Amino acid sequence: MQSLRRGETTGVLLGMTILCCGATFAQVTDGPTVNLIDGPVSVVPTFDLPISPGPAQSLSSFAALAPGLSFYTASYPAIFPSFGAFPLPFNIVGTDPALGANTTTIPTVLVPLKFVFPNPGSPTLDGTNVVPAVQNSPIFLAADYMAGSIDIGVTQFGDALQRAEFWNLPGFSSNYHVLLGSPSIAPTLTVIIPAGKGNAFALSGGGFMGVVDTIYFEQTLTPLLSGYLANQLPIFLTDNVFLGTNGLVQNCCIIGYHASQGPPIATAKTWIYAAYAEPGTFSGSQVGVGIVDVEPLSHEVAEWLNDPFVGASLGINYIPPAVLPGQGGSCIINFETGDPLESGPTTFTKVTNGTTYSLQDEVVLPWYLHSTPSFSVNGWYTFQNLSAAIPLVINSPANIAGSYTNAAKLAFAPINTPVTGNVVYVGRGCPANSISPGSPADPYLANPSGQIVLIDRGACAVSLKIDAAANAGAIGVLIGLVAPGDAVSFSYGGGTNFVPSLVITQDESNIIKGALMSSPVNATLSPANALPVPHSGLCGPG
Amino acid sequence: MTCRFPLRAVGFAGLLLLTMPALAAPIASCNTTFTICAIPENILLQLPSGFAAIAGDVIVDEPGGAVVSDVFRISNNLINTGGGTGLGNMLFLCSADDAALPPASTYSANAVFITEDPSGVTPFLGNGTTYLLGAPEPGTFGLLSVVIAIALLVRRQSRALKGGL
Repeated sequence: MQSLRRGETTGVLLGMTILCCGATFAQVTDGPTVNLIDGPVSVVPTFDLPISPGPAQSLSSFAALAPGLSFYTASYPAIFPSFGAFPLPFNIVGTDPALGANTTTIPTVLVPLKFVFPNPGSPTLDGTNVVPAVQNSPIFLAADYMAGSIDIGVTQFGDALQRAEFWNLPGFSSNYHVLLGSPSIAPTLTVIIPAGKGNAFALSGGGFMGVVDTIYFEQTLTPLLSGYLANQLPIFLTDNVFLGTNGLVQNCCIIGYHASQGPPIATAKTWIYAAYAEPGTFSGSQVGVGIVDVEPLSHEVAEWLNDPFVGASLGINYIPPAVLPGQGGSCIINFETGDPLESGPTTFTKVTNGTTYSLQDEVVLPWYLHSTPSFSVNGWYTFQNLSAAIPLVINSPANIAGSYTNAAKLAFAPINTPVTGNVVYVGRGCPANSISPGSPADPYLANPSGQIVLIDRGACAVSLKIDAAANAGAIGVLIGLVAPGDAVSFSYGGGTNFVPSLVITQDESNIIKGALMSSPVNATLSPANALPVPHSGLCGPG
Repeated sequence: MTCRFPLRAVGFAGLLLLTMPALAAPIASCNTTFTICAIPENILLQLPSGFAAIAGDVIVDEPGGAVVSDVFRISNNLINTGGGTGLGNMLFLCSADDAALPPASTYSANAVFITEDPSGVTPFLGNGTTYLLGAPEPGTFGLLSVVIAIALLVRRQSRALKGGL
């Protein structure tokens, strides 16, 4: 009903089948997991429900007269080699950015849901407890958003996204805004979960997570819609309660979705369910680490803004079918900003009211439309460009010059400014005490000052190698893998001083080392060379 | 007789079909969550209101051989991205028993090949929906037989689809 994602069912269910048939929960260390007290359990976090039309609207005269959601309809050119420019209609919250300055403010209601689970002791998870955290988050409070060197503005997350998305659209004004109103807080709704419809699970770090049967949850939510107007955005908020068939953790986790009533869209109600994800609940991958606090809500707010009427046939923002990167070939046919970036390092943080919150990067409309150039800020295809790969560009010598795309970024040593210089190979590069207490520093094989240094992976944390190189005057770092395989990123392991860095493959490292035997090697690390999020592949029929 | 496939490249106007299904073609028999659809042979069908599918061809070969017995085509009448791909809501299952099949040169760029089920009803799982190719027409065998066929075939092919997400 909410996201017309096509093709995810099989993969998810395959995972469920594997889990259900084991005598115990799978013990996994790779991929997203939830950290139960009995050990980690593999889950598939998703942000939507299967396809089905939204609930029908009331036929009462009151409903017909009630104001609808503030949105506009516009077409943007989608370019296909065989078809030329093709106008697709899109219904998007706010006013048309091509018409210039305007501020739209959507009345918003936070609806806390309190669940009493049928487990022994009747454990409770109460969304009321996380209302203050959500109110104080970047979803509602302003933070400063940058896109490279461009200041998008000090504003809410969703508004920053919309501004970035249409930044270079003809007619766009820097005074264009789409805001969520300061939320009113609805009375807490208490739901006593019957046996078989949900369970609470103790977490290894303390506390609980809950899983509620998806259909039961929807049946609980639908009657509540009568209490809200179409021009409002009710956000049904849970505290660490997710959805899954029969309330089983093996079937977890829908962590949010957005939805709407059926047609007509002029009067259709729209809403969001999102879980506030307590720290320590998810882990196991960069995706799992990023699922915390309001990250699920950021995903849903972004998608609701850009495709609000997903339950109404003609209101759905259809796009050319697109393969979702890193999601097993799943395809999508409607404009969901968050889904293509569910898999991968797609989250970032903002601080509001002194607290750091996790938010998701989002693709923008030009990504789906194959628009070239993109009309979004900096010509980017995602809001924060986090998923864009940055290649290693070797400028000389001529026999190895070129763009080497099998490279991985490091979150703690980003390439925000271009760096060009000669490459020197310094060896393993572990600083003193980094391998073990009292371990000596690896001697540098060359002077790193003013150079881009090539360091072999191994023995100590990558971040400590980069910190040491930066302290020695390096202007950039290449971490060369010492075993075959694709370039991979590494997590932070200490250090405070970083310079722009990339991880490169063993083959690439060996190419550079070989060239250095006879001539200088000059290279560039630059955000200007960033490659857009992969957008390739054909979706199969169905 | 030659199979008459729905026209491609209807384009933007095709979106109107989403709200006027009855005017265009009979509606395919699908469950409410669009995870199962029954597709009888040689009838131009339209998906239920509000649903669209990824366009392309499913080429059904006879068991044990490379002879094509049927071509299931999902039209790109809503969005045409070339080569028979895109998005659509018009479906047609062309059977060699009753008509000339479209030539291989017209297969979509994303065509997939499957083998016909000896039962005569061949399940094809595409993007979360199981299409029961060759299912009997409701008007011929009655809705009950269709439901039974759906239940048996889907249970055998994909037990986990039930209630799945």
